[in-house]
Amino acid sequence: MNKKKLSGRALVIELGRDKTRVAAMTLGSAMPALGKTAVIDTPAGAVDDGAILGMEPLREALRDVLRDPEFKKIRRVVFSLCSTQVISASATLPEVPAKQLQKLLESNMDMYFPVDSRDYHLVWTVVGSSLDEDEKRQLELQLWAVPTAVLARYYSLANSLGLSVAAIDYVGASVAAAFDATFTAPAHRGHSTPAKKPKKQKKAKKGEPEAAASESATATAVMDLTVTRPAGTLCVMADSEHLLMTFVEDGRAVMQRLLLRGGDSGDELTEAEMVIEYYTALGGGRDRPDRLTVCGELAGDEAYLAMLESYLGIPATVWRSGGVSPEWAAVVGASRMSKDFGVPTMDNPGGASSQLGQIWQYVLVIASAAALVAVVIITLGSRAVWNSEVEGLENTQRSLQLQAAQSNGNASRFHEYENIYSNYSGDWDTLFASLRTYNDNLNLMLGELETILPTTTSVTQIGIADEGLGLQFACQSKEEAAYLIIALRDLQYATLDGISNLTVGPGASAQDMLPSLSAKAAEDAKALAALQSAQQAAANGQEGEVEAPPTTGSSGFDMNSMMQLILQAYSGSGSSNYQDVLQYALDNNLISEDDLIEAISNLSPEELEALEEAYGHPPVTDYTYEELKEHDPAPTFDQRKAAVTAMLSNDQIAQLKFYDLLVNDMSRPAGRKVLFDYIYDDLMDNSELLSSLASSGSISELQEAVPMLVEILVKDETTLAATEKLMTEDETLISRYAYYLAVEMKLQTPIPDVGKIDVDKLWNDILLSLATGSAGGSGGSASDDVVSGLISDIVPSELIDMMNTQNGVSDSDISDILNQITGGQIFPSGATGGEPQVEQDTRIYFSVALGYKPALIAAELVRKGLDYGEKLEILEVEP
Amino acid sequence: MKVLGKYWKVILSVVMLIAAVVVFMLVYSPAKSEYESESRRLRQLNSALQTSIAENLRYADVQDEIPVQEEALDESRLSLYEHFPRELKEEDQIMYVLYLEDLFGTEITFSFGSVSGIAALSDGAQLGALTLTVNYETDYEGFKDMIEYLATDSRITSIKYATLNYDPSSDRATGSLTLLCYVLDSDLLEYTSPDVTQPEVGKSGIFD
Repeated sequence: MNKKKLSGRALVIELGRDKTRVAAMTLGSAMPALGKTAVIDTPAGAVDDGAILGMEPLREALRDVLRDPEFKKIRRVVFSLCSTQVISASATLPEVPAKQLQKLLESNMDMYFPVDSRDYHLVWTVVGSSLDEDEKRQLELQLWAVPTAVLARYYSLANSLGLSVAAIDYVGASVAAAFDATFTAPAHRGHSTPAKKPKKQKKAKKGEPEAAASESATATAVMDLTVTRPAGTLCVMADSEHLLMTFVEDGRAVMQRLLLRGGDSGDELTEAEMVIEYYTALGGGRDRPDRLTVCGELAGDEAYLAMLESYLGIPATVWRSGGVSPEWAAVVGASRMSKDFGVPTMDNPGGASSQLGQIWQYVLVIASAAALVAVVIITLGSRAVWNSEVEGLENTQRSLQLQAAQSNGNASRFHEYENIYSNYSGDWDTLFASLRTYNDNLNLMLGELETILPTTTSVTQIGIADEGLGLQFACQSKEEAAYLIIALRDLQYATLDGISNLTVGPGASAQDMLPSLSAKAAEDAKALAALQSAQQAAANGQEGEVEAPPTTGSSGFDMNSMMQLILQAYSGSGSSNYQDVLQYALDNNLISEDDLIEAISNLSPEELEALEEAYGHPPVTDYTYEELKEHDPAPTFDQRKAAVTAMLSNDQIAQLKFYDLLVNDMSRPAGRKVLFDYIYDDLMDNSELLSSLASSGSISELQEAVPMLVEILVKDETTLAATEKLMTEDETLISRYAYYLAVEMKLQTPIPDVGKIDVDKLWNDILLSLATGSAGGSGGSASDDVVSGLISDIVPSELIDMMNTQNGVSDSDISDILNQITGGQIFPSGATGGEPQVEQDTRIYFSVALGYKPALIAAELVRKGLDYGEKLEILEVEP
Repeated sequence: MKVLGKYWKVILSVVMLIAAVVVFMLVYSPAKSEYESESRRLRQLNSALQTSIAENLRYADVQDEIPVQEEALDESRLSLYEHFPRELKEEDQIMYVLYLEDLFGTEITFSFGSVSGIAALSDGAQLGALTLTVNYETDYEGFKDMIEYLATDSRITSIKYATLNYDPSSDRATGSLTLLCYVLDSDLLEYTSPDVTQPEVGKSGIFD
């Protein structure tokens, strides 16, 4: 017995030969209600008498229907199987436990059904019980045999649609449920008296099941209960293929008969009449059913109902339940089914993929479990290993600490000694590196020089410094000089480190070959000069004379700077000759063209004009300003603006003259100002410019202010006209302006470099005048004074004096001057005598630098007891 | 509950995996980090101890020699220092110049020099040099003798700068000589005053 109480949503499908009905319903509901429904035409030949013959077309037809979202979300199905291949029987057996009863029925199935039991699925239910003659309880059973082949097709269809089969209900059970009838006897009738039981039942009770089975109805789908009952209700389900008759008494379906339709309606009704008669005959005086309730597809056919009433002689009513149409009666009944006529084991909704999924799930479980176990084992194992290793390391540490304690201190003691030795060694190195005692080396050098010097060569100067020995030689000939240089290259006690050029007469001095000695000489001279200057100042103070600072002329050079110049020149040139001093000063930029440019920038406009006449390109034109004003066409604003801009931007003379005019205009009483009143606001807005104009005395400051000033002056016609009017106050300036205006009006060819001084030409003339002793430049007399002034500015007056008295002045005179300045310590007696040299020294001079031999320096220290070799060695330790 | 029943294997797997991850993250990883840290610390400590032991053993054999060597270093340093005067006071400079005058046979003009530092040694001693500039006028032989004297004299003296202008007509060499007289200001040395001949002393009045 396969009882099943279902619940939840499911699709209920009734497969008919012509129509297939699908409904979404809630299973097990006492008041079933149809949800989403669909009725499709069953593909021709796909279903016959409940058996699925055309699986593929039927599946495709259902697949289309099930795509509906309402159906798609439901994955379970209940079929209502309406087939005459389902056969039923009734049997009476002694009461045994249910499990034993199942085995008993299955093993004796062939006794109840004349079919091969292997092809049928047995379904049974206890419909009642009674007592036999021996007062032993007998069970009354209702049996059904369902072809497994039919069932398998149903399961296959559902599974192929991805559905799980919740149950397969036999249509007889479905219709009985729809009519609220059960197969079970009511409780008050559950214990029938033996007297009322037929003898056939008794036989079965006597252990003759074969006899009992033979008496059971073998007709298709017939339930035959031989209990006399009052007349009941005939429930008929009629559709195009089947006619199911269910006799219900007191809520119990006491007999069912499923007929195949297909012939004449009269034949089937005749057969139905015979079924009723059989029903009444079996009942032993049972009345004909007095009520007829019809459901099914034909329930709505009035003609058929009328014919049914006419044949059966029973008034018919149409089945109604909660507004559900009669053709859905089997579906509604199936949703309330309590017995599964199917074989659940045939249900395999997922197929192979489901099995695979199951395998994967198990694999996943095993893998997860393995992972967990592995992690736990690894964790525990690792901890054990780690603890062991750490413990081992700690033991090693304790052992090492013990060993370390035993030998502790040896290394630190040695390192302490090492440090002491390092200091000792470092001190030795420092000391010996600091000592340079090359006295012995010098002595040996001098001795060696005595042996190699040609008899006609003499040493005229010696200088000694850390670098070595500097020597100035005077040779009789160049060849002798060559010999000496060769000999110097092979000195035993010195190295030849440098050679000066050959000169006829004294050239490079010995100290020049030794940079440190040369620097010291310069420092000494400077210190000496400072001392002399201080002494001179002190002497002046003692005499009580109030003198101006020791400067002469306008150059700003004082006696000290003059002396510095001459000393530097003398030190560099080795001569006190005026020309040599001058040349040295020029070569070393002690007097330069830059000085001249700076001096020019300080000239007055008149001086500049004079200089321009001789060394410049004056802006000259045949036009006067008045003529240009009256010219036809008259000068435009732009032309006048360009002329003012060009003039004041590039012409230094014009700048200075205009500046003088502007300053003069600024100082005029109110109302008489020509220009200033018009540009006052602009100047006030530009305080920087105003400040420059107010305080400017230098051309450089003025030139910086020019661009902003010009911008204000040419701002508009008013300011430009006022500017021109102011310029007319200076005849020279307005004539210069006439040139620039004529150029802008294309009446005058531009003069190259107009307004500029040819400084190079002027500089060459000044050099020439300095060299020749002439007083002026090459210009006219007006410019001579300016040039002379410039020379005074850039050349020390003492040098000018030397220049002016050059005729008859000898080197000795200059030396006297220098000796007077320096207290006679610059030129040692004998080097430069007071008398002019009578004979010209024509010997070949050159100087050399001889380096020391480090070995000889060390040897001298050794001789004095300082032997670096006595330095102790460090205590050696084997590695 | 139905879902739980259907997918219990998956859920169980997930739970076990989570448990594995939790065990790994909360138990295994911290323990491993702790082990690695502790292991590293102990290994470094052991390595340092081994190095220390090896080093101490290496110097074990020379421990007895170290005091002897240190004493030798002190003696060597002292013997080196003893070649230098600790100071060259003004009286020392005068006596030195007097010696030079006697040697050169000429009077030397000079001014007292001051010591300038050259190098500082590790024990605090200062190597310095007194710069003594003298102007001289002598003949060539005198110049050579002067240099030879500087070379052979036990006093460690060097010529810093020297200039010489020789006049062959008079065989006179004039110039200046800048001498460096090395001094070593060290606590190991003691200053000794120069040996000066004491004149007759004692007067009734200091202005007499």
